[in-house]
Amino acid sequence: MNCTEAQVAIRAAIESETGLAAATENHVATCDDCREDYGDRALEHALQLQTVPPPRDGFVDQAIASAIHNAAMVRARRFGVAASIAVISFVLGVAYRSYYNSELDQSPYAQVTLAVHEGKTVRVVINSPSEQDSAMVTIELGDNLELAGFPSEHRIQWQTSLSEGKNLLALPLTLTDPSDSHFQVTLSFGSSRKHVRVLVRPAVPKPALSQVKA
Amino acid sequence: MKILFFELPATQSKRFDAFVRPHALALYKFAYRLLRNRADAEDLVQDVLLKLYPRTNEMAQVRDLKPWLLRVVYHQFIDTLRKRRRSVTTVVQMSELELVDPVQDPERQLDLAQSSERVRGAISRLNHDQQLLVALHLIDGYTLEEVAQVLDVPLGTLKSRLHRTRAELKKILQLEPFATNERVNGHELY
Repeated sequence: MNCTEAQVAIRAAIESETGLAAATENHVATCDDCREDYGDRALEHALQLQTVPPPRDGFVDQAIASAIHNAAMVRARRFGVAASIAVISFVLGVAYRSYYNSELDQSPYAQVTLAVHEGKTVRVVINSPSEQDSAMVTIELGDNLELAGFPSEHRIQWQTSLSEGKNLLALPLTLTDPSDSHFQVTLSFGSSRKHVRVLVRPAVPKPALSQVKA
Repeated sequence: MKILFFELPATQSKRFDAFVRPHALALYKFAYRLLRNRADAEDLVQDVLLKLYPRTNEMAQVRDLKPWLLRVVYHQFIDTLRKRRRSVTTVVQMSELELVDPVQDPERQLDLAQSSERVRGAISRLNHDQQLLVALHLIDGYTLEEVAQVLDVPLGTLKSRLHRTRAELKKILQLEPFATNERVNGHELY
């Protein structure tokens, strides 16, 4: 018996879970390669007996949905807190009145100042003359501006409803380098759109006391 | 005043789903290998997915996502153990792996159960690193390159570990018909 014949016989014996025939056994006893092959194949076969029970029905669907839902809740909670703080104590804000019409309204630039690398909430008050069920909000950010929770995303869009009167949109923003930046908020409803564009300027650091004295 | 909440862009949830769904069962399977219990494995995978969702953009940059995800599972497993102040080696015993049931014949099933129990016992005598290697490479068929990514271990280390592990398992299971003691001589078994 040569090695090729022995290895065929070894595979057959392992698959059928019968012992090695005498001729194969004799070959294996004198051939290191085939002895190694026999051990490896027997081990592989034995390990295939180990398996894992499946997860409960619907587990994958539920786990993915839960991850998405939980992220939404966390983000909403974080945003809710930021907005509350802004309403109470944060004086920096940009407000404009929103009148839905079919004309594209290019609002003039407003301006805010942010310290570099220090997150701050900029609030935009949207005064809607009527209730809107499905307005589309789009935020576009300059390259050096980040919205908390959306790292590296410069265009964020979602659908929301608007109440009649004031609606607060709080934007937790961080300026990532000391150059001018900007962001734009666009509200779309049907074929109408409204923009507000905001210039973001880096805060000028206060001079050190020694510099003031000099 | 109404507060407008951020709502998650539909595209992000779809992307997340597309990234993780194809690998979700593999993550569960690996978690089960680590924890030996279905409920714990499901909890581990759920925790991992919760942490992964905000990293959807990062996942888009990963070239080979499956081992990357498995690595996240492994790290989460280690973190969980640390929080519970339990030893890794006391938990990872792989002693509750279940039996394949390919036939209906009761005698055959009994044979398989006994064989499975024997293999299970042999695996449990390996150390933690060897058990992981057996589970990922020898049982679940991940390549050594993938295992190296998951466990953050150099490929060469894994190759030599694999050689030792195979030899130990063969010796424990007495799968070599002749002179096994001589061939693995010098390596301490557990």
